[in-house]
Amino acid sequence: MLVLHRKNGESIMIGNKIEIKILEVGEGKVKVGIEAPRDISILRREVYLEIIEENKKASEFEKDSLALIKKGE
Amino acid sequence: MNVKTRYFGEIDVSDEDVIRFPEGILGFPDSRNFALIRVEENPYLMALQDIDNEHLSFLVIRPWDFFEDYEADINDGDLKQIGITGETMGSFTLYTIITIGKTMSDSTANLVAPIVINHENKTGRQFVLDPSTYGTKHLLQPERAGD
Repeated sequence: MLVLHRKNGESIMIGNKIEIKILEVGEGKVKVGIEAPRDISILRREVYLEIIEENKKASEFEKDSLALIKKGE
Repeated sequence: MNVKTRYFGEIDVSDEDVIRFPEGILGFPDSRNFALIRVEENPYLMALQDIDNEHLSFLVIRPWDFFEDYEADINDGDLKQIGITGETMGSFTLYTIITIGKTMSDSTANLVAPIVINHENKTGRQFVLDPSTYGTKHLLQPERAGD
């Protein structure tokens, strides 16, 4: 992993279209601003991993279960 | 073309019925070609079947069948990625993936990551609503007081 030191207000460019800017350094927390083309999805890693995990679980169903789902009343 | 599926037997999918997911589905980046098929056993379910991998399919619902007040706020820029603009607003469908448990009462819908399919250009994408009050596991059958 490439490791860089940055100060408040400084940025990192990834390629020529993605900019990651340090907006604020607080106690145990940094605020980061990201500019990237719209077709690049930007997610907090924990959200990303949670959805991957749920998608994997969702793909493992039994055929017998298909009749289980009834419309809510 | 005939497509073998693990759960739905052999199905006939014509080229124009193939829905492309340029980004895949989260966690399945290489799964890019799907068919949306009806589930005979159940009118509320559709299956999104990977036509290149018989073992991979997702069950999807129209969330409003189960969650009347569901709101998915996807901005115009994101919708444009799959070719949805003001003019073609009428020709897309939003689904959410469900995870089936042992019974209906532990089956859930992933409301935070809906799938939108543009039927005009046969392109789909899984979006993540962030920030959102929704999560990945909403019970399809609301718990009732006193049960």
